[in-house]
Amino acid sequence: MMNIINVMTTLILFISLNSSVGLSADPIPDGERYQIKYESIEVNPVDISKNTVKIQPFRVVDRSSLLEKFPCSKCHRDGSIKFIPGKSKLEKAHWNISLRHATDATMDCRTCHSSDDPSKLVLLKGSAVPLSRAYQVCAQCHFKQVEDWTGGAHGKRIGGWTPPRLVQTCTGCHDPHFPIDPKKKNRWPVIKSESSTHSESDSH
Amino acid sequence: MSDQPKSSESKKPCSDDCKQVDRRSMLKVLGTGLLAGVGATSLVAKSVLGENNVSNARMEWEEYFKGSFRLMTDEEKKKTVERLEQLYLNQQGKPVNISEKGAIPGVLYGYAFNISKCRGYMDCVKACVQENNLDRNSNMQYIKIFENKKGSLSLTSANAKYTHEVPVEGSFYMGTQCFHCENPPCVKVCPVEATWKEADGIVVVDYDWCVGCRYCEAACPYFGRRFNWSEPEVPTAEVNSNQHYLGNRMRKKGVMEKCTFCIQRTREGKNPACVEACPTGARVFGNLLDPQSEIRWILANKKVFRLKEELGTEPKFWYYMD
Repeated sequence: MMNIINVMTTLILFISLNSSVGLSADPIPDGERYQIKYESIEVNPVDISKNTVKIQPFRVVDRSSLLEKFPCSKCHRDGSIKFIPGKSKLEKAHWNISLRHATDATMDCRTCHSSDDPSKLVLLKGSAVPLSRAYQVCAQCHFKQVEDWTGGAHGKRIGGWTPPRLVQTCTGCHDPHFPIDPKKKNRWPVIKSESSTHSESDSH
Repeated sequence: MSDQPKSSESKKPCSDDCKQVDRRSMLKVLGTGLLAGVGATSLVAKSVLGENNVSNARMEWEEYFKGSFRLMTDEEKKKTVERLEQLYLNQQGKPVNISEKGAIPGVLYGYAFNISKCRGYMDCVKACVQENNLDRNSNMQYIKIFENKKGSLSLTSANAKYTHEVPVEGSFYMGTQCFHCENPPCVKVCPVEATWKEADGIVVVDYDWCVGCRYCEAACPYFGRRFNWSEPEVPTAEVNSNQHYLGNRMRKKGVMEKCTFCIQRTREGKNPACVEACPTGARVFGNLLDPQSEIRWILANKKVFRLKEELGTEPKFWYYMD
């Protein structure tokens, strides 16, 4: 369904670009059209890479505030869930997620999610990080991209060019469970009228 | 509306100096005479045209005979902006807010474009048209997106008019617009100094001072300028009312216009509409004088290039790749 909507959006965009009539269907509400307000957290580049220590701290969107199924304690009331792939009774709660990141031999749920606390992510060395600091998990393999993101060459800045700098986090644009989907247009929902086609319910 | 005897009377006292009177002061004298004429006939005009039309006509006269924006005092800038707002309200019934805000000290705007990330969606083009009140009739667009075959970098052979679904396998995409050169050839050739570089590096056009000779269009090596061959048309409901005198305010037939880095947004601290709308994060905008800005990091750490660097125009628009 998502794919169909995304393809339709692309088609509509091209139709509207080539006729003056198409634009009139979507008048611009003055001022804050492209601004979407987010809760944010501070990032210290020292935590990411040795090459980024000279970069001043900046802010990223706190995606956990946007997730429908967050906090995890809504369902995981005892505060823990053991990940036993293929055996969990609760598997259907996350039925819409199919993990297609790297290979099955490389990654499963526990590579990124903490087995002790479902609301936390986990680093390769075992220490837990909050869901909103997903960039620390991504940086373990995709260090080059995260370095560019820390400097400002990769990613999406939000809310203007003046300090303080607020940027979209990795999982704000990339689906960590299925990062490369040739059919899916991983387009960041910028224009409000289009944002309704992008569901926030996937627990990225 | 003009009152012939009155205007010729007002010219009389200068009969000795008339040879030395330049075009501008001549227009001023003429204008004063004509305005006096308007005043004298206002009683008649009021009964024929109605009071609103008289004040409209007066404002139109004052607009017609105003000076160049660069030479205006702050007081004069405020007055012209008020007149333009009032005229648009009277004509279209829609309130607009026109700013005349100057450059922020310590700021020099720069732009970076990631050719590895752009996928040709053209959301930037759409946002630009809406934000800048571009003529819908002629389908005017400041931004061009070129579809290049990977391994080539020739804008003459690239496709800038594609309508197919993007991205196309084996292609990369590259956007152009006004590059706001530090050494802008368009500014040098303007015979009436209606275009200039502001202190924050934005190259602007005074739409009311431009005479439409199009020298600047010919001088620009990047095809960055657009000409209004017809009266620009934007449906009133779609008009972006957040405007700037040197930016997206309504233009008229016969004048040049171009990208202003969304001066009405950027001088308020916002990003240009194209940057804001880009769904891939390929567009980066910022202050070149701020060592902590993203654009400075890109210039220091990424492979960057500019178009036609050999011309010495020093565009403040860099392309980079991952």
